[in-house]
Amino acid sequence: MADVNIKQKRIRIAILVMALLLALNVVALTVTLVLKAGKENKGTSVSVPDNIITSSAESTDVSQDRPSADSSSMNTHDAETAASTASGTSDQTEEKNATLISLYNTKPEDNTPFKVTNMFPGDNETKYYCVEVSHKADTELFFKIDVRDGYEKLAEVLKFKVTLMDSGKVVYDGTAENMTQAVSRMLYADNETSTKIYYEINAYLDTSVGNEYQSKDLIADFKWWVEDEEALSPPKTGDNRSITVWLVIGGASLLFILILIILKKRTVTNDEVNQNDCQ
Amino acid sequence: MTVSKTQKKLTSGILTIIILAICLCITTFALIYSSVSVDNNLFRTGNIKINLNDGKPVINEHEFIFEPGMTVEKSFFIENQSSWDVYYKLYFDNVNGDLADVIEITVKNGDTELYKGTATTLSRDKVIAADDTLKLNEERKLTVSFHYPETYGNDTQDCTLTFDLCADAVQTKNNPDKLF
Repeated sequence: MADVNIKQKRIRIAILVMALLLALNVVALTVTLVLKAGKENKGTSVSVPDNIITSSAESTDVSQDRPSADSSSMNTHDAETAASTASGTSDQTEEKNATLISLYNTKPEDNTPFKVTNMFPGDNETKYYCVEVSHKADTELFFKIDVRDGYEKLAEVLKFKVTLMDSGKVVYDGTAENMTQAVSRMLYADNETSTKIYYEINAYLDTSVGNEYQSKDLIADFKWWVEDEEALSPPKTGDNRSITVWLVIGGASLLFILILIILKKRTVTNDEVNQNDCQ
Repeated sequence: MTVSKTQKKLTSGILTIIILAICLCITTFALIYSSVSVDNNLFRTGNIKINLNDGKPVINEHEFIFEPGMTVEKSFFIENQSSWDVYYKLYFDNVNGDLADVIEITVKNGDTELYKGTATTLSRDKVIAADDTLKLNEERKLTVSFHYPETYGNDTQDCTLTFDLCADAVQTKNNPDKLF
């Protein structure tokens, strides 16, 4: 009977601990989602100088060639410099907005999605994305466009051209339907570093698209990921807000646990006092 | 009975732990999974839709008995219900009857002549886009006149002409050559 009680007690403790952890996770997720939603309106962005756009003819195979020592650890400044160098021109002052999203081991930041309506044959729309990866070893960054179920019709003709802006390499140019495999970009690092990869994504309709594609919708998700999570590292610099958030969550959780313990002790003490009084 | 209750409690406790563990794994995975995404990218195509006189004929059977020299003018409308400005062309389809090459047809926008010819020459493959464009939601009143030339004699007596008046439209966007 005593064994059973001990078992029950242990189970209760386990349930309590897990429930607490779960609650913490849920709170953390909620905070992340709220922050994400908040930032969607602001559109976290970095400026992409116009001159970093290069034509596909100048493209080089960046996914295979290891960069030189100078650019192997490409931070923000390096990325922009390298990109500017690739174009060979710096006269153009017009700037395009690229949305910065980060790919840390625990810190995804959001991005501005496409919202193109009333598209006609010949239309094209371009958006710029910047994925920042904090990593400590060589790793591969993958990108894929996932068309949601029920939107396959327009995916037959809506084309995407995905260009890595630092090299001008077109990594994909075809219909959304045919993008069955992810495109990848190799990231090199010998030690902890942060690499920014700029993507130019151009969505377009050929002029030959017929009437059967009128009034059609397509909803797609753009996804970037790394498979080798061991190579990722926490970001060294940048926005500290997430760390603050985690600190706040941690502090609040500790405070919550302390309050619970104190309340429990008080209840137990009161019960003991009451029992003594009764005796 | 007590043992059974205790077993039940233990079982439910273990089940709770398992459920909690699964939930914990899912939420932890959601927190640390190394991926970013830009969701809900929306692409929507426009549409081209034309209302030609509500589908009603511009001239009805037995409405007129044509004689040489006679001209009948009828009005109709064309409305752009598309999501963009359009080029349009009007043409005659399913043309039948001996008057197809006789009756002279003129389509006008006010005083501007858009098309002139016979039902045979104003077929889909022979007409080009009208010079003007139809703006978004614009409804335009047009007139079509049918003239029976005086030069035709008795050989065209008791002849008829039946046709469908049709319109094609295409968006002006990315279409400088007015290709249909």
